[in-house]
Amino acid sequence: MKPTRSLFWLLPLAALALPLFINPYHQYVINLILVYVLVGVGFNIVVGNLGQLAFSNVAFFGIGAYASAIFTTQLGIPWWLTIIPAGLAGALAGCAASIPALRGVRLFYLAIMTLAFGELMRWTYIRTPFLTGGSMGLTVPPAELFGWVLETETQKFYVFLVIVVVIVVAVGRILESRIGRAFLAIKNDERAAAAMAIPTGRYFLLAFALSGFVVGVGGAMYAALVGHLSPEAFDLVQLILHFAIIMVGGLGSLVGSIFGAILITATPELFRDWPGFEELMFGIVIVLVILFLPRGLASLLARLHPVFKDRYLRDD
Amino acid sequence: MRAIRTTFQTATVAVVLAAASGLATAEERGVTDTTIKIGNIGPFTGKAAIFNPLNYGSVAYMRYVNDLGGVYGRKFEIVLGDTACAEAKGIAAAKKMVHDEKVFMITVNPCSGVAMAAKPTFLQEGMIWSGVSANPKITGSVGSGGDGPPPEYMFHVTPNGYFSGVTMGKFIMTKPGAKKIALVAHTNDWARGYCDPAKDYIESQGGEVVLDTAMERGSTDATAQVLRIKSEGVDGVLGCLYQPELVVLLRDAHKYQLGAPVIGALGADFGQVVQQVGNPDAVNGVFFQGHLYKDKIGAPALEWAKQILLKYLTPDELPNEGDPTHFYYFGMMNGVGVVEGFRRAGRDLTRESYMAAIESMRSFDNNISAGSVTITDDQHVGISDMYFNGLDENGDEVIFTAYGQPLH
Repeated sequence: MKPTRSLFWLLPLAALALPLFINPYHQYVINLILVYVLVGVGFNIVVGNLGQLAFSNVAFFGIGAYASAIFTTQLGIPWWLTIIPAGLAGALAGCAASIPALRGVRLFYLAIMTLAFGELMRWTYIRTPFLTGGSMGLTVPPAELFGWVLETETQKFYVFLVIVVVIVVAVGRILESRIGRAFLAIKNDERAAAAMAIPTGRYFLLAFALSGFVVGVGGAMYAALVGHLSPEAFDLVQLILHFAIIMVGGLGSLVGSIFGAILITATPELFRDWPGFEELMFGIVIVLVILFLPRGLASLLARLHPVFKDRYLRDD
Repeated sequence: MRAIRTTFQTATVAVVLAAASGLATAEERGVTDTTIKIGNIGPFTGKAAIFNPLNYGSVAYMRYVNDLGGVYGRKFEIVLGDTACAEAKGIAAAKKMVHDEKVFMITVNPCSGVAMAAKPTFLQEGMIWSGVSANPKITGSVGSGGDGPPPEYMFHVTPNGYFSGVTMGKFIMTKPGAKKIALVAHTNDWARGYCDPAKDYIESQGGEVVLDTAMERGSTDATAQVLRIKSEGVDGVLGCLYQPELVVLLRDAHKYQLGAPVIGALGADFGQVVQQVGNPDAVNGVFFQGHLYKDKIGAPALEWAKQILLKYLTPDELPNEGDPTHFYYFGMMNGVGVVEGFRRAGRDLTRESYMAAIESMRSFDNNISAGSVTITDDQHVGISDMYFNGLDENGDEVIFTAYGQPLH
């Protein structure tokens, strides 16, 4: 049977009916999953598609969240108007984070430099209390959409769903285009890609900026969802969560980022009633997936049905 | 036509009366004739799990009350929820308590960031909250670290960070001739919740905070901080630090002969700090810490609380070795205050009757804390006083009411 991609549209369509069957707690968890879908999608662009060990994702996430919160609290701009600026702030941070890579820094050296970028940003949130509320954190007013206050989790859900669908589809299109193929070429062999006249530096910059934009928008959604930002929310534990999403979902896979976000965000909640067990299960899930599905959940799903295989990875 | 109208009017009145009677007999969320469901949330996992004795202290007291028959025949059904001290997870815990577990109230909730993030949920749902988180913005009003009226259904039956910080400032300013003070604090909301009010108090009393320096969590060396403090020639140091870092600060303060007393915040256990520093000269007459209780932990006045903790907590809930630490007593203080609210609210328990009962507390002696509990409709932080722990030259623990003034 020829795989039909249009089946994927059933997912968001089915999701539209979700709020009818669940309470605000479950709705909140689903909203959190939507935030982490963007986090995973953005992170995967640099790590999975471009193949770079760059860990500045938490910085993009925090910058997006704080940018949205600062625009809302300091400038009085409604939340929906801060989504694009938050993404652009993330993209700008992405450009900054790509500088070491553009200067030839690779592998563990790039990893440690980008990690340091994340920690530097956390230090900045703490040391700029006039903007960020410092270590006491920043309380964000309720999100607004065209003057309509998003008071309930359901209202947030519909807005988040639209944003996530638009961005995931757009990123999918980009990854299937010449740009995405250039990313994969660089990932497979950077020198060979350069020899084929692919301007690698430009694509490095583009990948980091795109990653920063997507994660920055995720940050704006996080600010609207959680309503209180503190520097500690953007520490190394957050990075481990991001990394787990793409490792479990499947490096370089858009489908994997979505399912990775679902599994990694939902697993601790499923085991919430057994304190301590949730951490154990979180670890077990990661170990099991890495041992038995080294290419992540996406590879399992692709085996189940070709429709789950990312188009840009079909020949991979 | 008239007959139809009369029938319609009668039917309308009947429906309204039926609805009203239904409302009158409807049960309050989380309350049955025999149970009251309580959500107890806190960091049961993660790097802040050292604070979960606060949760267990409250649990122990409620189990004890259950053993006595409950309050007006209702026993407490306690549901634990893990926040991991992280905002996103904490909100999930709070929402689960509200929407899945349908608890009557939420208690304990250490970790200010989580409490602040979950506060809109509590306010939106009209959920009663009685926590121990330090951030003054949670329940504070004018006079207790906030800047407006207190939130309708949220209160502390313990001190908040504002009063704890102010008492740290008061203590050091009672040292004869104290003028120049240094602050060493973590860069998080918990630490600032203590150090900022302390700083304000010191400055209001004519003192000067000559240094406000950071010490990050996980630091294993405080040389830089201590040498800077020493160069300023301060009269005292306030350490708004968690236990491991407070131990490091005290060790290095002794190593470099700082020569000024160090006052710790409530994020550390006094006895454990002394033990972990491992050098009497580094703590005797030098280290002091806020002490919430009416006497020493282990003193006869608190023996009843210790017996409850030992009897009603499982080995998993108690420390691996030694007696229950002070966080357990702090948690129990919360439990006693919360239960007192139920006693005062009477048999007809509603959120309104409970809050009215809480707001009727005047100088309530919970039999644990140094200060009594007073809550009014414009002041939702119950305790504003505490004592201080210290060690004399022989290494014996002494409770102080002010610098150099022992309780006994």
